[in-house]
Amino acid sequence: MTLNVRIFKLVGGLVCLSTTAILLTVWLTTTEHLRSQVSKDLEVSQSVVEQVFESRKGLLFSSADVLTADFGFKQAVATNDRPTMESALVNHSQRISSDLMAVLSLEGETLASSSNALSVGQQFPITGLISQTLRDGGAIATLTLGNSIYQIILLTVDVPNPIAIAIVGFEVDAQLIDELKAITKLQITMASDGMGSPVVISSLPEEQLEEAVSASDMRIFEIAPLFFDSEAYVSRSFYMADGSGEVSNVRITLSEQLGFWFSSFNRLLIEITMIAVLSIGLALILGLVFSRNLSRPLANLANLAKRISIGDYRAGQYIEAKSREINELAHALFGMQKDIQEREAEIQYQAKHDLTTHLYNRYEISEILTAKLTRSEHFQAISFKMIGFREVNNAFGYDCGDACLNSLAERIRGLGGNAARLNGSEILWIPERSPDQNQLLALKESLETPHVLEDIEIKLQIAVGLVSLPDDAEDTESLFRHLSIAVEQAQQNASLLQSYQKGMEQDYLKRLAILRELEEALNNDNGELDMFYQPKLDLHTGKVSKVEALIRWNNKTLGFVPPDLFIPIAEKAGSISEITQWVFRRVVRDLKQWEEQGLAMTAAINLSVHDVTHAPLMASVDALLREANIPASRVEFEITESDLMEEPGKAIAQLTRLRESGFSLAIDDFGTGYSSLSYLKTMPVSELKIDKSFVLKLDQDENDQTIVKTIIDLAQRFQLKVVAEGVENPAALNMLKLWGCDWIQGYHISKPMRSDLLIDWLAEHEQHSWTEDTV
Amino acid sequence: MKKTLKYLIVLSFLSGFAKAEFRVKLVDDGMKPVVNAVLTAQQIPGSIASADAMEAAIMDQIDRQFVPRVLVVNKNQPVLFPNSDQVRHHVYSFSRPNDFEIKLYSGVNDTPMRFEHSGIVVLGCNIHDQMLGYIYVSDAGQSVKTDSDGIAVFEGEPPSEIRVWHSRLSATGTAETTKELAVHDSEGNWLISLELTPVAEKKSSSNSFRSRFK
Repeated sequence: MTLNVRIFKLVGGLVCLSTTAILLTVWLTTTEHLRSQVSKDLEVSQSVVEQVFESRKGLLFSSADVLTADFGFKQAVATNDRPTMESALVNHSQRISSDLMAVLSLEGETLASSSNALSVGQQFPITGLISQTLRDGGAIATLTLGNSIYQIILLTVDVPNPIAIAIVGFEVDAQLIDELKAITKLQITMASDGMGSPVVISSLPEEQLEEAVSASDMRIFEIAPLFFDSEAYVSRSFYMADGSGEVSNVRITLSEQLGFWFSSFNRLLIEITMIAVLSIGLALILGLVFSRNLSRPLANLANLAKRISIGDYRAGQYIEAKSREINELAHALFGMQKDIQEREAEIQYQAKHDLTTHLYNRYEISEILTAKLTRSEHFQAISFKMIGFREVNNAFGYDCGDACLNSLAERIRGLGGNAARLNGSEILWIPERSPDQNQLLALKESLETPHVLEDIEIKLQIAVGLVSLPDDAEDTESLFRHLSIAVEQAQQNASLLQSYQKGMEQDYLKRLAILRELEEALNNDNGELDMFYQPKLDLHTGKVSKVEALIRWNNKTLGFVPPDLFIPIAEKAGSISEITQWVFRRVVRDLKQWEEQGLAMTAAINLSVHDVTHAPLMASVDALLREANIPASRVEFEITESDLMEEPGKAIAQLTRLRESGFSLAIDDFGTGYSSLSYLKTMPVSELKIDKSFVLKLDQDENDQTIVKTIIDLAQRFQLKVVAEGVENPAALNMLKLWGCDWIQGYHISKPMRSDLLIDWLAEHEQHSWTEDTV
Repeated sequence: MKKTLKYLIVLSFLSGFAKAEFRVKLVDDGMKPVVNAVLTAQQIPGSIASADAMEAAIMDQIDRQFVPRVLVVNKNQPVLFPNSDQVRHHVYSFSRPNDFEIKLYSGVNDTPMRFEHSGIVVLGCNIHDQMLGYIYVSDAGQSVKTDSDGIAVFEGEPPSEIRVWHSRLSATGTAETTKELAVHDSEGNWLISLELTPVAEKKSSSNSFRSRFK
């Protein structure tokens, strides 16, 4: 129910209630008043009518008295002298204009009469009246005689005892009724009942007669005549009798029309009803006005609340309401709107932004990218990845890492376009205008410009991956994947820059497959991995006393996977230690087997820089050897020059510890790693392995000969042993022997082979003179 | 009462020795003695005819009333109408055939009236309506007026029945009735009960119809 209906109901109900109460009270009071009024009116009128009849009685009596006192009349009666009696009667009736005069015998027989109402010889109809007259000396009566109503007096004719009865009477006729009506202002009806033929004389019109006469004076209490019957009458009937034995068979009815009385009441009723209707109307208008004042601002506020709920925060038009409470509500609502708006903005911001860098987050940039992709826009997505972010975090703390990231984000934001932090230290940038390769390099450089954070200065290395759209990806998911592949690849490049190329994903997937299969091969040791050994020929002794341990992997689905392929993948994936561990176990086992067959062989194991810096791993090889009761001198480690150069300081420390444990160390692939010669003197190595690229065509290439000769010379000066790899013909062998190389290794000697075959091969070539072949 | 009783005993005693006589007592419905009634016993054996005694009877008018109210006379007995009041009276009677009229007079009217017919003569005064008197004209036998005790004393032997007149026996005051002598009362009187109309007695009372208008 709406407010204005409620208000209207309340006010209207009150008005109706009070009006009804007023009407009821007025009705009760008025009815009571009218009842007493009408009752009094009728009573007074009855008295008036009775008084009129009473005064006529006096007239009748004096007339009758005079008549009966007349001696002559008495004499005439006594002598039954009818002519004399009748003349006397006529004489007297003329005096008072009476309508009836007669003389009756004491038995009631008419002796003389002046009217046709009683004819001579006729018996008087009411015998009781005769006896009453004889008893009392006279009587008054109102009765019907013939077809008329008479008020009569009967008096005895006394001589001095009664000898006859004289009657004098007035006719109750229309004239009298009219006179009475004029005096009382009421309708008068006279009706005889009982004796004789009924006679009715009335001032009422004939059609109303019956109803009016039969109406009682109790009708005032009825409601029906009040509202519906303006012609209704209230009547009061009585017989003309004064309590002294007067006889009457004529009923007098006084009828009063209620309409007269109720007209004023009805007017009052109508006035009150009209006032009530006006009041209700007024209540309606007031209720409307009031509720509009109240409900319109409420409706406005409800609309406002609805708008807020659907997220429409435009400030609504609010007209100040008249009531303070509503205004307070409105202000509270506006305050709430503002707060919600702010909070939602904050949530929206948080939902769309990375809170560290205040760049977009992955989710939001996905939206932007999707939109661009949907529109098939041509644009580039560039990923900047801080290399060594973890190290920064570790070294300077996460606050510093975040600050670094923020500084980088700030620079990227300054470039325009859209930028988002993807994860960790990777930031995606969508330039407004695609830069070319040179611009990108310049950009990279500017981003790498040392970042000054409070009091420290940090130089960053940033890998840049680039995806060109819409060519390189059809959706955001593939976009992110390709970008990730590109940036990962970039970290492998010297330029630290990589555009996504078709096929990269396949490589990536292949690397993933390799990793997965490798993991399985390591965990199950299913025979896919195997150790091959390539003999090293001691050029001084012409004997093979060392081998290089080389890992081989023959996968059931991938086929033969060269270590060049899977080792770097494993290094990157962090599973290189497990491989190394596996190699350690296998090599130690093989060494043990050889020793049991009387073969004291020294095996060289390739280590990556990760292995070297992994102290527990290196401790495990010690333990394995001790368990197998094999001295540490029987194991050598080869580390590539480039690995060593990656983190020379750390590597040297670790290598020194290994050397102290009794292991021999060799620098592998020497000559390719741009190593500073100054390191050579500090390196705890005992051997250099000349990269096979210098050796393979040694017999033909003079440059190679110079390099190899120089390296051997250098090694000898540093008192390092030299191993040459990739020796494939006797010419190279002889050259190397001539130059003083200590060991050679290559297909000319033997391919790498399984450990069981190595035993046979050694037995086979025990007496073989390698150097003599060339001679 | 004792005195009366003694007197009655003496009377009865005397009568036993003198001549024969009987007493009749008249009462109304309420056993009250009826005064001014006239009892007539006819042909009483051994009775002495008193018709010869023709001395004049007197119907006086004192204080506008007839005195006595009831007068018993024999036929043709002279009746004088003296007027003891200072006002005049107009005495009349319409009782036929003894009707007469003595117009306005005062003092003694020397001329006596003689009623030749037996019957009741109702007397009135044309000037004073309330004046009412009765003259009982007896024709035969003994007519005796009851005394204040309602008793009439007759000479001779009691007859079987007796005529009774009283003004209240009828409205006109002229009716007579005959009653049997059948019962005695405790005092030895013949007892006659009479029904009387109340009409005539009320005529001059304050309750009467006419008084309402005067």
